[in-house]
Amino acid sequence: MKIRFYLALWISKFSRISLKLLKRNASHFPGVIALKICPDFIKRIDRAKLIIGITGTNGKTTTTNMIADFLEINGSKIATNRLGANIDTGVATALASSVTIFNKSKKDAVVLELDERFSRRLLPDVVPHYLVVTNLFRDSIKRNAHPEFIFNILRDAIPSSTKCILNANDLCSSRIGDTHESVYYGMGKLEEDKKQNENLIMDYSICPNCDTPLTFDSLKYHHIGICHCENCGFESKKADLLLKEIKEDKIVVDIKGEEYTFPKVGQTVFNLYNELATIALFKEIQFSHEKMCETLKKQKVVNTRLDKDSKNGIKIVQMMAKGQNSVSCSRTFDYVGSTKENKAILIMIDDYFERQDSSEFIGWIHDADFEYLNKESVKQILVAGPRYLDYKVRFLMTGFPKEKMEYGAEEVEVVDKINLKDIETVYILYDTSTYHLVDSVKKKLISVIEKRKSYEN
Amino acid sequence: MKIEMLYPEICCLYGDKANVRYLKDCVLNSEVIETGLNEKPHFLDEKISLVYMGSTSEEGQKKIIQKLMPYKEEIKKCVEEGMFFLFTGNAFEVFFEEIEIEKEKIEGLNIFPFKAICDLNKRHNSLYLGKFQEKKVVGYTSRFSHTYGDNKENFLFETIKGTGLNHENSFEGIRIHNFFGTYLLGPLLIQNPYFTKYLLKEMGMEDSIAFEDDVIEAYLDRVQEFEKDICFED
Repeated sequence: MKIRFYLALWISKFSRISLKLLKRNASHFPGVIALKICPDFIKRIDRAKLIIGITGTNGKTTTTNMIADFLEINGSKIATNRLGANIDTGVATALASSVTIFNKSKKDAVVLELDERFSRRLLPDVVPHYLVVTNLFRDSIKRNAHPEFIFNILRDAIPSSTKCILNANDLCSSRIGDTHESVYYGMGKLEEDKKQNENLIMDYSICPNCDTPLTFDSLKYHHIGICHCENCGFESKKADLLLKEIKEDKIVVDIKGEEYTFPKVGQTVFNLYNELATIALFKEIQFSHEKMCETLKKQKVVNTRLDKDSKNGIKIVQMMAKGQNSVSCSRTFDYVGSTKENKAILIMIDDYFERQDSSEFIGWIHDADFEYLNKESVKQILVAGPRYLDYKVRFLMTGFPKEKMEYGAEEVEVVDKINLKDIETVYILYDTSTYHLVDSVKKKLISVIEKRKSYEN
Repeated sequence: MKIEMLYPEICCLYGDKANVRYLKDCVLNSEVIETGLNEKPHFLDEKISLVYMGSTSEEGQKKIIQKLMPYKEEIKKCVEEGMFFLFTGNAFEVFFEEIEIEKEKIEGLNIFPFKAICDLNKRHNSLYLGKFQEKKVVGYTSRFSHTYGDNKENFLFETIKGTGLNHENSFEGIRIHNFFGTYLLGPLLIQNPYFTKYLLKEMGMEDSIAFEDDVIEAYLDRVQEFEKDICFED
């Protein structure tokens, strides 16, 4: 078996170098080979001094990048799958790069994004020192079934030696702390809180003990917040690290009764949760407050999730809205819908892979809050992808005016239908599977903006 | 029209609740009652046009059976007297004799002579193309369980492509009196305008539906797509 392992390691390393020389994506394939040759490859890799895992439904990639950047800014040599290759093959690839050809760890730390559905296979072998769980929501129906199913898998797979960093405001994933040593982060009651539930779905709205509807003392979005049960006294977890105030460029956090100020890295509530998870983790690893502030100041949200540009005075903003993930989409729609400027929104979140030889289950769009986009400032909605007729019906159900909608099966072609009159910003909302189309869509958009501008002149 | 949605706090996976929202759009002045887990179902004591329940988790099923067990005979009577029920996803399994989840046998309400077997290690995902009264029905199923029992005389949809109650059964769902139960999940009524029209008509309503032209356009597009040689299962 030892021979198989070394063979797997060497071939995997060789394939990674070759792919990189060919400028090809090397985040999966080396791991595919390694696991083919040696199925327990992950288990046999020499362990780094610090192994951090990040899992959960939403925010994994952003948090992984924040944590990886944090360590690198502080001079650590790390191995990571920060681009999001988070199943066994991606993890094996990242781990292979963390050791020498003689299987000796050569990195200070390994930072791994771990798919929550794969945790049964990954966690017992990776055995992270720390596991950050961002949250658990409903996700792709085919893979993830329902949040309770994923919670059970994850809870049972976490090794007893792993310390968990949990979101106290998430009634689902925070229950991992009932069986594992954990530290909690969260947000307190804030001005920005929702006054009442405004989302179509709330995965946890009743008391886990007595089924009584929960009372939310603070509600951020969906089931994320602070709650208690009037009937039996059940309460959501108390955060060890609690965000108390959001200022323009900083956040105030209570840690064990003392208030600390940190730079604000992202603008949205869900990015603040990612930052809090990062702070909670590095607090555990004994980074000083000063060091953390210094580091966070240098960080920004990874641009596969958010990117901004402008052409002839029109801003172009690209944002991720994960298809088949109604909560992720609702978060993005909430943010985009709440911006004040006049905007056109191009939605291209139809699954790219499923359309190749099958048809995507589209029921999830009825769980996503498209209602957030039914605003006066939204001057036009353009939907692209083979399921555009379903989106048309969905928008009609929100009350969005039909005359302000345009549709098409092809992402790039639909750009021709954009109406730029009075538009200040064009949002391009894309899925992970359509990310590769964003550049072409953006190029087309820029050429349309230029053409229309020259026509106007 | 008065619709009772049973246990929306846990029976709301996969866009199922949109069926009720859509019916509300279809019938002006319709009323929706959302019945929580700690409440007695309204349909046992008052006239309800349609009782709706959507997909839930396995733990959810156990909880619902426990909550409804005291009313088992009354529910049976409502079904026999022709009250309208629409259950999507795995919701109808709670009315069966038994649900077996990972070898654990859970006694159901025993209103229909079927048994569901659930294997949490095998998720079954499939597109569905079937027939309901000469009109095509399209949909999707994603589940851990299959149902066993004879539904030849009381199936809901006749399968053209996809999975029926189980892999060997080409009949999908059950129709017993006015109880419509199907493994198809999510926005069934939005995706199948002719089935929705039928249901409304049977309930004594006008059969005009909301956003009719757009919903039919999306339906026809999906029927055409599902009739092609595309991958149905994975």
